Amino acid sequence: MKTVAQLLLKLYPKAWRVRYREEMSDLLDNHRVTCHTVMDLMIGAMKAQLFWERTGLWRIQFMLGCALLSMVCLLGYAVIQQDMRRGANFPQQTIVHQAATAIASGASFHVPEGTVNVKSSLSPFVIVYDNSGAVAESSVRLNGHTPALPVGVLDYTRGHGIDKITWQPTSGTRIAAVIEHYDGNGGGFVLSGRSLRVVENQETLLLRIVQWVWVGLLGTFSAFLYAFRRRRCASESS
Amino acid sequence: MPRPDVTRFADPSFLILASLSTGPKHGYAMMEDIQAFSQILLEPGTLYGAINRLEERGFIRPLEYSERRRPYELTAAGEALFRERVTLFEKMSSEGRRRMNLRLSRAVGGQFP
Repeated sequence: MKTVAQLLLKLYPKAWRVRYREEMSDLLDNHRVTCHTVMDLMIGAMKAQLFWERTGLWRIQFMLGCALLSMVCLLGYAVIQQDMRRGANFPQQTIVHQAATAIASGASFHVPEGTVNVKSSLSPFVIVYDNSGAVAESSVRLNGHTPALPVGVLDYTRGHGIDKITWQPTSGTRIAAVIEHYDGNGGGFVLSGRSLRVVENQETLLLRIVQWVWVGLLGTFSAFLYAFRRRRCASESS
Repeated sequence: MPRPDVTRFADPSFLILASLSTGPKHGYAMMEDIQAFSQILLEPGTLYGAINRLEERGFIRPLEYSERRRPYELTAAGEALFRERVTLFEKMSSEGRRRMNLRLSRAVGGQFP
């Protein structure tokens, strides 16, 4: 523990170490070092790094503040974007579950053939696959055909029961798809998807808003830091 | 003019001033002394943070190194600040006691009004 405490002294700014390291080190040699001591030294070093007045301190404060604000904005964007993306899986989740249950129990389930053009329509569509992965019924068309699923998606769904993916059958067309495997009635898969066009437009808008908020926060922080440092300089010179 | 806002009751700066009021001490001696008279253990990070603040504001000054230890002593400004704070705390303490007694004298049958 004593070695850790001695090593923690290296976390203090260099000028601080030149001034106090010798006596702090002597104190630690005589002191019963506990977890509390280690925590106290870490907090002390952090405070000294952030607030102890020395040449170039404003750069550290500025960079750290900018990094922190950028992380907050990035995290905020990621959380909202993920929530929007998850929200795009509805109502497909309900559709696939109802369809898989109906087909597995042998109830009549009919998919209207090729009614949704995924390039232009925002409506949800359904594709039913048999247990070998061949398309049994499909209500979607892309360039006149049912788009082909990426290799491995159905195998993954067979192992896990359900899968939620972002599917890009062709450049510029992205789909929020939910696939569910069913065992009854010969087994197979039901996929329901819908175009992500609206959600992606909302994500782009969100990104712009977050960018402006980020710029605003950095500007406000810079002004605040400038005013704070001027006030501190004035108070020290008086 | 030194800033008077460095000591609050029981904060490390005040405890250091109180410890140095009986004579110069190095860090470890201060730590032991403060624990003896206040039962508060100032850990090294807190202790040296406060020493630094007091030194920068001119309330204490370092003396010559003795081996690896460096004693500190109160400056005139530090002594004045310590007296001022002790007077203030005494006033607060006696006012607190007066109010406590007043409240006790109003208590009827062990129940406070």
